Amino acid sequence: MTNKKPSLDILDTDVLVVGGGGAGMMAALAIAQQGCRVTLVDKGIPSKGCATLMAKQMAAAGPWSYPQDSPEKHMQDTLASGCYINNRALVQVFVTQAASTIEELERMGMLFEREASGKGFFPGGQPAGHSYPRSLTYKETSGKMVIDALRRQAMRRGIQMVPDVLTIRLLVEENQIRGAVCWNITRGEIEVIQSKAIVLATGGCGQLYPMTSNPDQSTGDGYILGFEAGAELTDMEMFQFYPVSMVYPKFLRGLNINFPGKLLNARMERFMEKVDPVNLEHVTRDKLSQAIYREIKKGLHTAHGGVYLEASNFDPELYRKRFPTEYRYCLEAGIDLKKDRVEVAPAAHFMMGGIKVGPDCRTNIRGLFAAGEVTGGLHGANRLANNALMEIFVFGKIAGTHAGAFAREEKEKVPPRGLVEDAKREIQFLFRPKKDAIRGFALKGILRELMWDKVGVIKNMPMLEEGIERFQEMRESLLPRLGVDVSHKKYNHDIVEALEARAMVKLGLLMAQSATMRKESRGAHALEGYPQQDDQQYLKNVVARRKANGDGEFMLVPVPGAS
Amino acid sequence: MSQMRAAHVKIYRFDPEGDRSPHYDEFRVEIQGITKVLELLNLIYERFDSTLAYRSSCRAGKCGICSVMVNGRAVLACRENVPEAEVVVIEPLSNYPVVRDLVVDRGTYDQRTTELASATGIGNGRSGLPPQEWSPSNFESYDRLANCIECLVCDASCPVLALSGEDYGGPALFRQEAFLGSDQRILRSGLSPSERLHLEYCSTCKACSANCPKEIEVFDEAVRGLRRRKTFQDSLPELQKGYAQVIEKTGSLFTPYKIPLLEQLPEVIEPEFVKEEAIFFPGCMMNMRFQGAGKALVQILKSLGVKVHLPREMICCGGPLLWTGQDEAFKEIRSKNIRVFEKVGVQRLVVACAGCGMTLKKDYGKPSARDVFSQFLIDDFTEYLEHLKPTYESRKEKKRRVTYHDPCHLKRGQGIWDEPRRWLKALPDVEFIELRDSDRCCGGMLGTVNRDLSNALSKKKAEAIIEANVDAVITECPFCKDMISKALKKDEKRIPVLMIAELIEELYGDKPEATSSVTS
Repeated sequence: MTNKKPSLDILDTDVLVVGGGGAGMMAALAIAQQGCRVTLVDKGIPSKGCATLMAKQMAAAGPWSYPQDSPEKHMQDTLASGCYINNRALVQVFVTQAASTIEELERMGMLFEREASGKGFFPGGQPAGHSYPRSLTYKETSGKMVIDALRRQAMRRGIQMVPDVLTIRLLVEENQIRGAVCWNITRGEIEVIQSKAIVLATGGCGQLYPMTSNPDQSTGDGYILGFEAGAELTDMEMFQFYPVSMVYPKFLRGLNINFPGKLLNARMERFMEKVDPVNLEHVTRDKLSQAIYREIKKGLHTAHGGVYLEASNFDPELYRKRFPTEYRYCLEAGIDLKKDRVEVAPAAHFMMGGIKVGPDCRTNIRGLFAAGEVTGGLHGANRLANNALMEIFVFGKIAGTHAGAFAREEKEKVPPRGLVEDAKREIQFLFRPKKDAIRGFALKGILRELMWDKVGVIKNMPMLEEGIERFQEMRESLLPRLGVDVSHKKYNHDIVEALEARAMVKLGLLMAQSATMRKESRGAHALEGYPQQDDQQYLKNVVARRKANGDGEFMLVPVPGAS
Repeated sequence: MSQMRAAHVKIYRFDPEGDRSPHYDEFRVEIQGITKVLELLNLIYERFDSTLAYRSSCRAGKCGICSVMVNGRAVLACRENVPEAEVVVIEPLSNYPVVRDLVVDRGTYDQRTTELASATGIGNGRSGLPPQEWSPSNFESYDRLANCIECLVCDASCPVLALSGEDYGGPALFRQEAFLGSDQRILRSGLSPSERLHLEYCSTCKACSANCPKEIEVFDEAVRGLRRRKTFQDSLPELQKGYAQVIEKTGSLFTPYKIPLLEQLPEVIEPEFVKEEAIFFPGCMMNMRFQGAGKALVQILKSLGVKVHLPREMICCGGPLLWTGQDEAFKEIRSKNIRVFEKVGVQRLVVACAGCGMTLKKDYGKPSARDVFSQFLIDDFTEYLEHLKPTYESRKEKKRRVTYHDPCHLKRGQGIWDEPRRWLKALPDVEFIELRDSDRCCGGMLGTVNRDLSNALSKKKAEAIIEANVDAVITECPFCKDMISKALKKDEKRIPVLMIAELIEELYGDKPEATSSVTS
């Protein structure tokens, strides 16, 4: 082997932020505030490919709250919803800093709806699980409005935001971050980024399921990036489904419905009367998703595999004003909410589990930080509605602040050549012609059915074991068959699909394995045969770590801070 | 909707680094169970061509990145139904450079919005700035501009941006600027994009508003809003600055160079048997420049039993003042005209100038019930004909081959494009041909602002008309008629531009009588 000069460009920065959603943008701004160079990469267009755009409201206890409300109450609600396996330290930081983060967002350009008097913010929302209304919003587009304001702020600060860059491997040497290897989608080339710290803000993994509210980009890349770099993951069995999502028509599958209504099975029975006669449909997402799923599994489902949602107190003016998008989409699909019912079913929505972080967003890898949905622990076993949109800004800022402070003290170090070559080989393998090549999107299709079937809304041990076997099989026999059309490297969608599919198989396996560790039902983890919550044995988190051979190793760790 | 049908799809393919020139790949695709264009693209990518490059993310019209051109119109692929046309042509967004196939480079927009962001700020990073008091009325304009998802469909629809992308800011940028400007907490510093990038080049065609997937009135809310700013007003060309004065003096946009139509015709024209009554509002152009068309129209109405009122005190509708941000001056003009209309005692108005019609319908009436004018029925001539339902007998001549140009202020300003076509197709001695890009702006509004630009636009229009090989082009707007005639005069065929009344008169009508100025 000759000593050739590397033909790759190495992009050099202080902190690399992976992911251009709310957490990533907030982190990038905080890093810049620390006086560091920051580069934000996104595999789509920053601020345009994120789940943040869909989010409608954010919960925070602040001066606008009811007098009886408080951050302490918000914490209690969050813990109750999370069935008490939340990371207390994270929740504490979260509820304490929520209000000040809201005010900071306004200073950066966001406008929250005010009360009629115009003086204070209007806490309009009180979804199930919140003791008081404490959710702030701007009409139905808060997530978009905030991230647009953040992006403008990032533009003002001259922060480098690079679109169409897919991060495939983190470079770690001696438990220390050195940078990352990326696939530049526009140029069709490998790119190496050298950085002293990395903030992972890659969002969730709803795309692992056949029906999801998440954008195309939510394939869970970050969990595997962290896992393969040696970071610990927690609560990988805790996945939230949004109970009332459209099933039909096809092009609207996964769209979350927000207006209230009655749920009816195929026999037109209001099944929630039996499940929870007091609260009926106004229960937390885990309970509602499981109830709907049970009806579907019993065979009492609609023509397209869901249950019926009948709009309560339908008033066209009200709906046009408060739920304009849903109302309009229903009309276009020929659904007249005055007399028709919408077919709904649980759609993959949010991953409570993820990369284990402390209240400063540090992971167990030096220089690796994480924020937002890619992290685990804040939400425990079930996320409270409207906490996610708040989480990303609180922790995005914290991650950025600490990552920046960290980078300031660190010395530059070139990433190890060996690791870069490894990542290159992975990509080149995809380009090699293969017999019976399988394309990324096809692999994803198989994987999604598997996830819904074996690692779905309600699980059981035999199905999980089967799922694990199938995932391992896929890993052994299907992943090596991943192939792409190499006639174009530039903006080649097949390459992206294949790289995503690789990570998704590994992630699905981890999620299934993690689920077998928790022999009880708690929150979003509903395990047949173990209907009760067992605090004696399971007031713990399932923590996963990578073994030398690449497999996951799972431990039950007592919840930090729980008595 | 599930339907067994095959779509014939043509997709633009291009790799600027690899290919010499773009080409179209054709696919015949069974699209049972497919509704949206994005689903079609996914199907083609999965089953037919894995090299197809296109963007998608939210699938629900919220992220704005999947925008493409479908059969010449800029749309969101995830929201647009696959058209039931013979061929479905999918192309990358217009007016932006192509990265590959259907993926475009948004760099220019990003650059310009970065500059815009840098010239605005809330406290510019100073901490401790308290939230401002906010009452909904302070933020009405903000709210109307807030839903933009930066899909760039408006930019792709803009005929001016197509011709002068480097100089012209474009609707997307102006929307952003107006949005930030409507936020009362924002501090501005430095030159704004609308000041540097020729806000005055907007031709008022409203293609941006018409195609916006979020139904933002980009022209009316953003462009007109920005034009109200003092800096823009100070930089108006003298001619436009002088509008209010000229109207005050003469009642018209132009100083008269012949006897106005309203002074030639009596104030009331009575048919033999009166079926109904209406006020005819000619507007400045027909009052002065195209009097023949006005006379023809009046004659047609009379022959159909309409008692036509032509109050001499009618003045310019004021539209051009509104479009140039001179809202205050407009209000006075509106009041004057409304008083004149109300005095007549007839609550029906007929117009044949697209700009006047749009202004009277959209900017004159107030929701208040006390306002008599809000009860008025206002019809474009083509709408009124639908109401009167005249029939014409063939003169057994050789059919006249005609085509139709959609005035911007009629099609997008008033939602009228079917009626003129129905009329043209119903006339027995007429063969109607559809014009290529029939609704693309002719540049009429830019004559006083940028001659080169308006000529470039009208030249494109003329080319399409000549290509159609017609005997005449019909249009229902005297500004368009003026602009297009000038462009067509340069061609040897000198195809005439007629308003519908003129065509009807030519084919079937008596000559309008020269009447005295004595009211009956």
